[in-house]
Amino acid sequence: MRNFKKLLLPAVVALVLAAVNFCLNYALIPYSYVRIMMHQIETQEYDTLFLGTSHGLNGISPKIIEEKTGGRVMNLCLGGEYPKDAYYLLKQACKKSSPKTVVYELDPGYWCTPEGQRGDFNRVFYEMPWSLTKLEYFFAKEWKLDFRAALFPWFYYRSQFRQMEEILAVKRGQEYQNFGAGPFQNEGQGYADGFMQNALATGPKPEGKLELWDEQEKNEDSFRYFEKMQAFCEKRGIRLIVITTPVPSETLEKYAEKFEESDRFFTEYLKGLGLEYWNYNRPERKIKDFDYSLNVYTDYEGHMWAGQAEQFSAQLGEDMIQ
Amino acid sequence: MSLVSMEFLLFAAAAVAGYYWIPKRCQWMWLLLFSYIYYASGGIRVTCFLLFTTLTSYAAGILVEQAAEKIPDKKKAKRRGKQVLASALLLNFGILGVLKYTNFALHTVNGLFGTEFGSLQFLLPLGISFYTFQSMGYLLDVYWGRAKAEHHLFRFALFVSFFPQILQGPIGRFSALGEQLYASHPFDGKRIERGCLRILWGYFKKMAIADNAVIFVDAIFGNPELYDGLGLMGVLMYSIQLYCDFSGGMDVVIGIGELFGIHLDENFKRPYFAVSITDFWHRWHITLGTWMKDYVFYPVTLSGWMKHFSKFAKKAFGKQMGRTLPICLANLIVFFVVGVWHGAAWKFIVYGLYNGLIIAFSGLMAPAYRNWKKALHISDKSRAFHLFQMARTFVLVNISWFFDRAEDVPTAVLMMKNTLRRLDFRQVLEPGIEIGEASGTTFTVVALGVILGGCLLLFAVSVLQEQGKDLAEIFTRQHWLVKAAVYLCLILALPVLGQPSGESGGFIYAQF
Amino acid sequence: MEKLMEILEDIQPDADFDTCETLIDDGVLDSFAILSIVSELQDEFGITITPADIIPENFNSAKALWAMVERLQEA
Repeated sequence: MRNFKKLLLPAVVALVLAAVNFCLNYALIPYSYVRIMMHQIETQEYDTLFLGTSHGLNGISPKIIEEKTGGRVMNLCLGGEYPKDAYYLLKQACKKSSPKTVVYELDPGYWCTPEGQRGDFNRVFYEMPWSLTKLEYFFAKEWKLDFRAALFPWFYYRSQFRQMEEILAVKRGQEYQNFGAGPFQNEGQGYADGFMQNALATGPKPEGKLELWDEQEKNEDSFRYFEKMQAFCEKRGIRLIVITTPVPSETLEKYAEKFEESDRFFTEYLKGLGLEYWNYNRPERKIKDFDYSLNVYTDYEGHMWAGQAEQFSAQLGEDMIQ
Repeated sequence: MSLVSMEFLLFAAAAVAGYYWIPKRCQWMWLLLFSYIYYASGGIRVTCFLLFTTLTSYAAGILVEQAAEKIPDKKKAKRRGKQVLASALLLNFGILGVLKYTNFALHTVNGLFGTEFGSLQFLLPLGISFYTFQSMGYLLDVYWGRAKAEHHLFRFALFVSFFPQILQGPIGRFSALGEQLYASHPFDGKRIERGCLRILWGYFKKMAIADNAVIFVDAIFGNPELYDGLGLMGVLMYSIQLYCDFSGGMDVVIGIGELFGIHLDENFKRPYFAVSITDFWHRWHITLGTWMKDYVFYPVTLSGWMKHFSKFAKKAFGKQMGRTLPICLANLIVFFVVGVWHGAAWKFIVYGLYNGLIIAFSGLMAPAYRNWKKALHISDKSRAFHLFQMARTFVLVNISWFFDRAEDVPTAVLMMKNTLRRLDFRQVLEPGIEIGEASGTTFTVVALGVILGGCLLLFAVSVLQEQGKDLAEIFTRQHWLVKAAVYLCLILALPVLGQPSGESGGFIYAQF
Repeated sequence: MEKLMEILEDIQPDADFDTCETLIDDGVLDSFAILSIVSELQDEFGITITPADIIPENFNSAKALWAMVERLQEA
């Protein structure tokens, strides 16, 4: 009896915390297409997987690639997806699928900046269903972080409390239950055909702070997990291709030196690993009928609009079957 | 391993759970094991430095003791002891000095003579100044006969490396800590409750108060010209940040010690209630202050050459002055060392000497003050005078924070000038102050509200503690539902009110 | 002992040296006062006080101080 009473205090604290967490996770963390992706890789088999960053998410149309290559294609690129996240996404996807090809879309900025702790940085971990892979991912990603990241997933979404009503409405809706993409449709973009389709934007384009390649600031983790990804592919006989999406010609001119430096470095690095690197910013890597001008891009960084993405994907698909 | 990381939380939990599960006589070995895992997780190479300090001070302690016991000729014994002591001190402080100050020295030489020595890259072992001070303090205690040498190498290794405190103190004394580390500790639910409360309180201070304040500190000190009307706010925020960051870290460390049934020295006693700068240093980073007093201040003042100086001063300036002057000089030396300890930069030396000068000045003026007070009929015990003293000390301390936090001495001076010239709190609502996902006016107002609320709570707690109330003891006597509510409030305040603790989750004092 | 009391009164006139037994523990004497006392004792009684002697037990009361002086005079 005495022992039981002693356990009451920690037990009640833990239970209340769990309940609060459950409610706040539900009310504060908005619906995300990461949930759709997780659902799809859990329930369907794919022949080709795309991993990478927001450039890939905006620029690669699985549908077009499917038309070219014939197999089933899934785009798992995400803004804020570091090679570490990509590696665990790949592992998770390969539980169901046995892909023949994995394409990694490389943004040099992700290889020379530390993983931030803002916005959706923890989303892939949060949406991943419980498994050994998730546990492994926990040690890789959460272990060194502020304990609030893993213990209180809603911590980074606190400021969403003003949107709580909308979030709850979406989560109670049919679309959420059925893993639909309806809630992501808005004027500027929409998630359809398996990638994020940007509308054609007119007017001046935001320049923001471009994360350009800087060898001094190498993120060792990015290299380590990319190499893990390569080893994983090799073991399973998966062809691994590395690409970089084209940026607007204005950006390329303005930062010519940085882009050349990056191309030189990664060509060398990937060659050392015995991998193909298709950098679509190289002059010789032509894309058929592609408009490189800033007018049609969303920003200086090089996020494409859906029309460009289709042109680019057609070329990419073409190159993949060569 | 940062104190706010997931890794640390699970590591500490595993250490505590195992500690009460294994046989009692193995508890200290368990602590040693975990302390070394903790340290080695920061790098195998830096562990060599820790090992070196452990081995040299262990050997020196025994040799010093043997010299005193085994050499019959007292003079010879003393000389031998001194030799051993000096070589150990030289080696260990030498390493500390080379690793921490070489680049500063090179930089200074470059500035003076126009040379162009490049900066060197050094490994900086975690907590090196804390464990070096701790083990050298032990050695001096043995030399002076205040402590017995520890003959068990592994036990001694635990004293140097005990994991909760190695990163940012408190600097422990062998006489107080040694016995506790080696004793066996049965499970004590009350102590666990106290420990947990202390840990949560520490995280609350760090995450909910300090990490909110740091947004303003970084913005204002980072752009002193842009925010020229916010100098006062900047320094007040810094005094909040520094205290809550450092003492919050200490609460976590001391709380974890408590979970093992080990009582670590307090490092803070409501410093902003101090009535003088001397009193402030009795309440702020106490273990550094007492270390400096026992191992620098007294020995320097009592040294032979100081005695000569004292004789000379008494002849030249009269009895009273002659007595006080050498003490003032020794005091300046101490605060020079304190300044240098805070970092290899001129602004820290200014910071140290500023403190030293105030203390020396008030030491010299003490008799005059006494006479003035008598003449003006001011009683030390009057409430108004007490408050005046506290306010005066707080102002003096805040002046020193300008030097501590500003980029360099000229910036500190500029900011102080701005503070006197211009006061414009509206600047805080201008865009530019932001962190993480949030920025803008609403965010600023919320953050300010959290800081204010947190400080009020902290103030209330401090007043009660100052009155001698043991709040943790009162807490443990409450009904378990009350306890659960307190725990829950503190835990939930961390994600609700707290800001992310920087990308590295760093504590300011974890880099010494 | 009288000489000692004289010195103490001179350095810290507002302290009660006759009865107080916690001069250090209660912070009546700060380090400046301690060292002033040490300096005077060394001159007055021709003794050498080392850092090892500066422990609370030796400074907590006038009696303890006197005991220390006598001990050091014998040495």
